[in-house]
Amino acid sequence: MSPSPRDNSNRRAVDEYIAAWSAITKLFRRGSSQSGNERNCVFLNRTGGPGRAMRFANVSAVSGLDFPDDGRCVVVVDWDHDGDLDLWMRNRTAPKLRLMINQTVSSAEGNSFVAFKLTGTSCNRDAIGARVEVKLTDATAGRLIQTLRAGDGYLSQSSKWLHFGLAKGTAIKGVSVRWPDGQQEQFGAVAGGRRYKLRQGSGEAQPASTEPRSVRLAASRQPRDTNSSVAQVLLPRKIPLPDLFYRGMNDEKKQSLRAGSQTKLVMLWASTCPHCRRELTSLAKDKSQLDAAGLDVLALNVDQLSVEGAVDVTAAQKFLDDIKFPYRTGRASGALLDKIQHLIGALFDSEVPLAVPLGLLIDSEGNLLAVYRGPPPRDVLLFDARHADADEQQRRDMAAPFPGRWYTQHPGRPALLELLADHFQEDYPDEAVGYLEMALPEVKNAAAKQSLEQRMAALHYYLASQQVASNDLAGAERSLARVVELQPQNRKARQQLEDVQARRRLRDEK
Amino acid sequence: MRNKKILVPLALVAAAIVAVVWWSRSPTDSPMLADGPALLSTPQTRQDAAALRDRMDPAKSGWQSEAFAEAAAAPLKKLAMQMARGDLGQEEIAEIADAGCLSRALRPRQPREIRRDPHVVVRRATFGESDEADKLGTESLAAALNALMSTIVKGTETRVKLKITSVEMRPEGVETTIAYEASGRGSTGWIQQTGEWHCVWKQDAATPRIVSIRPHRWEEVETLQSERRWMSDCTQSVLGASVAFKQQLSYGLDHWLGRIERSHGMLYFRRQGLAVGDVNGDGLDDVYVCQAGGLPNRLFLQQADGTVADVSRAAGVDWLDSTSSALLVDLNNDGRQDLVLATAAGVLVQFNRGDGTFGRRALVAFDDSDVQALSAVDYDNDGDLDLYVTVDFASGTTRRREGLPGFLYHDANDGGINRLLRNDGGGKNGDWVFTDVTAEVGLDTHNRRHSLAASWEDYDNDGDLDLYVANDYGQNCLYRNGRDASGNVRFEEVAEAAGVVDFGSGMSVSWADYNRDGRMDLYVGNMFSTAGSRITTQDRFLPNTTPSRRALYRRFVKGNSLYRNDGPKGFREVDHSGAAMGRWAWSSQFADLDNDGWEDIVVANGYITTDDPGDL
Repeated sequence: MSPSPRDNSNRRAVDEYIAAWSAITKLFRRGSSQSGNERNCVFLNRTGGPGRAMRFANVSAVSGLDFPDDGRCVVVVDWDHDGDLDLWMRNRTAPKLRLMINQTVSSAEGNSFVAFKLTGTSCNRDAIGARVEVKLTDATAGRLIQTLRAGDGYLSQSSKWLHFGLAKGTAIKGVSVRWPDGQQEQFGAVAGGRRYKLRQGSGEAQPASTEPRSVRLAASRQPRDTNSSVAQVLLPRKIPLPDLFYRGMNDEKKQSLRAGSQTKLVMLWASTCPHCRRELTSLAKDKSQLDAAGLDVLALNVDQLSVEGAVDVTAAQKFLDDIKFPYRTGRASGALLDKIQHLIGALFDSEVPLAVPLGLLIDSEGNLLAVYRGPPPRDVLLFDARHADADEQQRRDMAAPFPGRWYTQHPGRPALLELLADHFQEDYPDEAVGYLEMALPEVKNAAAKQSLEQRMAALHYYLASQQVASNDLAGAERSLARVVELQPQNRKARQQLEDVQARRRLRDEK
Repeated sequence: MRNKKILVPLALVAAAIVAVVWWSRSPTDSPMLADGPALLSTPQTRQDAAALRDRMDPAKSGWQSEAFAEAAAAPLKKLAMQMARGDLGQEEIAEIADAGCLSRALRPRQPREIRRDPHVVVRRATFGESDEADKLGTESLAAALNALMSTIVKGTETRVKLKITSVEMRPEGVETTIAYEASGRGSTGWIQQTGEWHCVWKQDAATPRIVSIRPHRWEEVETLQSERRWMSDCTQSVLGASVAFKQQLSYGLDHWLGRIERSHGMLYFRRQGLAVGDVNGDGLDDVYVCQAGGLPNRLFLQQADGTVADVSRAAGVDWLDSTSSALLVDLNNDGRQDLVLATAAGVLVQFNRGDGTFGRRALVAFDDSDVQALSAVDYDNDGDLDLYVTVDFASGTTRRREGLPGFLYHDANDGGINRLLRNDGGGKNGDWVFTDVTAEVGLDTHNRRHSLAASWEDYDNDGDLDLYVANDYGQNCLYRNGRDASGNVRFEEVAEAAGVVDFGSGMSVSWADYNRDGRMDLYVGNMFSTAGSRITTQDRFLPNTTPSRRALYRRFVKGNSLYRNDGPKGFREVDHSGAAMGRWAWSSQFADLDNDGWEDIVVANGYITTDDPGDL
């Protein structure tokens, strides 16, 4: 790690520091664990009373709450109305919810409780901000205070019932409420072991309905989630593909993945992978069904991609011949996979390593519509293919895996294109520029447009430097011309454009 | 399970390709881009990535103390397993300790009984340097460990954990502090031991060997009357019938991150909360569950038998928009609980129509999308509830517009703006009106510190509500509610004077009168890290820094803070509260779990757990 800079004065130190942070967050997105498998903690108050420096005791394990979840919130509520506090917990990991029912206190033991629900009349109706004080008969025990709050802890809102534990041998002398508007009110005739409603100005604690509840909740272990990577993801927007090329099974002819007049399923497969073979066989068998849905298939083999030099596709070709595979076929290259990884990496906020069988649904205009990890169920595939023409709003609704409603607008396409550019710019700056050029005409906000133009100029300029280095003067001239177009005031770029043009002329004259 | 092997990782097929892909992603937010034409530096090249991996390896980066902690982890793990199994023999000890090792009794001969309640007893001891003489040999150490574990019945539920929390490399040996925890069934109920040892190691062989173990601190909690532990997971029995629970909530966030496209708002570093309230006025609390973008929020209504009914769709609250937190409060004083949501686009308010549905009444847009927690309060005492909203990171647009400074971990001032929204009632077009009064009331002081949580309390017992805000990367804030010359509400930021700045990475705020002196005390969730504790005490850590800054970094990893409210004298941090080690804590909350009238503490913790066996 780069050390945290002392202050903001050293720009370089801050940049290095931020770069180190972004490296760390990348490790997370690749599946690294940090402070993981930590068990929740519970501390039992054994501090003993005012002024006595005694400690809380660690009861995490005996409490039963010490799950190794990635816990986020805790909500306190007497869910089953049995007089002790239960907890709802929310986790990052599965299971995302736990209702923890409290079984500490049995009546035999003698600890009791009293609980109040407040209603404000001259203050806010929920009486948020009210302070309730329970005076105990035992003078040494003193008093208990609580404030009614809405929202505390972290991302948590607990019950508006105020719950007071009453230790064995303590009784209630009186209850007073300081309402949020400052009114003080005493409530008499309150006994332990009950729940009361306190209405502002009534002066009388109203016992809450004692209607019997037959709550029978059983404890059981929650199953762990099954950790499968198989998924069918319909994308909420059509994603323009970068330049992707593959070669024929038995020839070196480069063909574009974007080409074609139909919606197609590109299936990446390996001859050593049984699920791939089964899927190709099944696609072959379902040809008439796929044809009817207007769906074409292209099977791209990934055998021996790591091998330098000549690639042996004999086994793959033999398999295709054996099943009389009726669609187009070809070989994927490392470059193709790398770009696909960049593309998919931009679409999800955590990295899922590429694996076969991997299906890509691509429309006739070369847009990616869906990603299938593992063999896509036929009905899913056909549904997605039939909805290849769905508009962006329909696409957004279909892409959510469960029904629900949106109140926000579909995030703009320029933001998506810029995101794609982010992911491509380091390794494929030309692709990044392509995405930004697509975004520019769609950006309406003047400030955003200006910042995008700046970014594009920077990238074109970078491309130009690479083109000069590789002696691609025509390319460099195009790039620099675009910089000048985007930033007419950029004298340095203009100068370099003239230099490149001059060099080209000189070369041509030679 | 059936699906497990369907996908053949391309790593097997094309190792080289995947390796290339693995290290070639560029950061999404390159700081170079805002500055106009310049040759783009590539912020992370593959060489950089290799260098980063080397830096992550303590042996290569010169962190000998960390390399030692890593090397000692294996023998400690082995020891913990053997302790859990019970009946340690000399041979087992000989594998990890020196033949001439020194040890003392690890279980005190006369533990002090702190308090005996009908349901629980707590025993404690601290050990002085001269309390007892050292005993020699592996047999003595085995006996000491067996005696320590003697109250715990050995079985599948027995757990022992040993972790190194400090390392000092000395010529005569490596001195470490070991935090130890053991738990399992006891003779009547459950037993938990927590303690600390001082352990010296010899490092000459490949695996470090123990030279001596002496106890520092020991605590034992024994439950006396129940076979069961105190709390039981009854989720299945309450939610088992819900399809949404099964399909959506029984999977962790990592599952959905790879299945829902990010533009839906499915983002790695977002967190989602819960709200409880009585939505239908039947006297039973219901629960609203916030979800990440692309998954619909849920409203579960509690039934008389304690189970729930999922009414999210019918109630009109099944929002797919990324939602951090929710509140159920009565905003228009009609006796019904309305719904407030903190979402990436701002705060959405829906009024409870009383017929089982909610209607949308207001949307307060936020420029910064990293909206976090909500709290409601009537800060101005006009009879209706106002809303306070915390924000962590500022958006890129805000950063550019405001020219915010760079991010500083220990004292960030570049966060989004927390907002106090005054409830101004119904407007002309039927929308409910909320007015941003943050600056007007003085809450704009120290308001860019990456806030996660906030909670209102009358800490000074003067009758109005004050506000504490926990900031992730900066000092925390305490805003005292007061009046200006013309009698208007004016907050003053007094954290420093009150002694509650807390440089730790604040994640949560909880108030309660834990010591029953009539004043509300403060518990703040922070993070605790064993690795952090080890590193920040080393001379190598920030060698040129000042002692105060070094202390500050130690503060970051020391855990949760308990501040005792001493009234006019301000707050005082309770040093040995026993409640600090809440691990990587998130919501940390007071709750009297055993009804004895003393507020206990619950801590939800753990940062990121994956299948990755290592830990960053």
